[in-house]
Amino acid sequence: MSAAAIVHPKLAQASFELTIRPLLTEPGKFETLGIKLLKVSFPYLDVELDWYLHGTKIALRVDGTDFPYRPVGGWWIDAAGLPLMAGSQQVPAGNGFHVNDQSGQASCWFCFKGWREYHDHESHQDMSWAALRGDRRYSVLALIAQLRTDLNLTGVVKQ
Amino acid sequence: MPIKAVQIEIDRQLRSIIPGSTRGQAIINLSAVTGDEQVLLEVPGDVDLPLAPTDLLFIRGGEKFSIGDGQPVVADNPVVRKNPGARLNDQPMFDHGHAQVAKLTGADIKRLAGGGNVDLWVDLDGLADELVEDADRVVLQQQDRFFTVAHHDEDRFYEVTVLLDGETRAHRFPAAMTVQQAIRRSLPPRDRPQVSDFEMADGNVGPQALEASLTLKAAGVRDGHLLSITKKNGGGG
Repeated sequence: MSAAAIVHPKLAQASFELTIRPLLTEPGKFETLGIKLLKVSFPYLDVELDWYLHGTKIALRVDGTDFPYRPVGGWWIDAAGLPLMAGSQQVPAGNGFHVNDQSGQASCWFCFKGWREYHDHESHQDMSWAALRGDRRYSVLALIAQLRTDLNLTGVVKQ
Repeated sequence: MPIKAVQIEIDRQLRSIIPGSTRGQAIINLSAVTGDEQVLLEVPGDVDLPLAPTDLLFIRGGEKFSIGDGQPVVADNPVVRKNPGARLNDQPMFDHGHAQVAKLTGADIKRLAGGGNVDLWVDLDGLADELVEDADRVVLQQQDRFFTVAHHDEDRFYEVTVLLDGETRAHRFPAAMTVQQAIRRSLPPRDRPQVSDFEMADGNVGPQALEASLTLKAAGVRDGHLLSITKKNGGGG
């Protein structure tokens, strides 16, 4: 990430780690609920989500750069931490799970309120992150839990 | 994490107390009354209610109590001017014209719900729900919300942890409560009218959402289980 920081990295890290603290202190509970903590190294949080509808799991990277001034970003990663792309039959597509960015480039992102790529999208400029960030419904762990639910909706396919 | 303490006002002095189900004796002890003095729950625009040691009341924080000198003595369960605003099974507890007192036993409240072989619970926002026994005499307050569920001799309730909005919280649910009722009681008040938009999964049972119409017991929920509540559909576009 070469862009200049908006929020001081130490402040963003403190905010990010505070909001994900329940996962850090009680990882076993979250794992029971299909959210396995893999690694935390600010600005990234890596978790594995249970994609039970397809009998598999998928690793998610959450990016807390500039949190909470900006929402967190998110994308799928492989075992080496590299972004997963469509075409490998490993990523979800449909119902808000996109596999190309606005310019048509291959890039997985989540079209759900509370995720950075949603709020960066030109179609969503009427939905301000500033209006959502104080709502626990859009806290980082709530977003991850909701993503696990949405991942397992009928209509989400492997691509 | 349960709330450890809230503040109430006794004789215009703030006191800390554990919220939830509380006996009158606990308030009396904090009041240090002597002789004929009575501790009364202040009720705006109505008769203040004297506390008997065994009376049950539900403390949320912010309640005000005064100390009467006992001259004259306020009746143990005085007739009040207005219906207490408590609700029972999502309806006002009292019909218009009901002879009003503000202390009812659990058995009285069950009768108002139509009787039958039911358990009576009080729904406490942010706290574990409490079972009210037949013999408990409750000092009714405006914000009290009671509900009844079919009585079960075994597994009357489950103590579980619920993940909602990124936070884990301990809950105690009646075993005979339906999954949808449990979701509703876990949601913040703003979301309760849209309860059918949400689903509950039990990580100890499996990853799929629990059937909303089943009782918790029938759905497989048990003591110590981990539940999560999310929207059925996050609204992806």
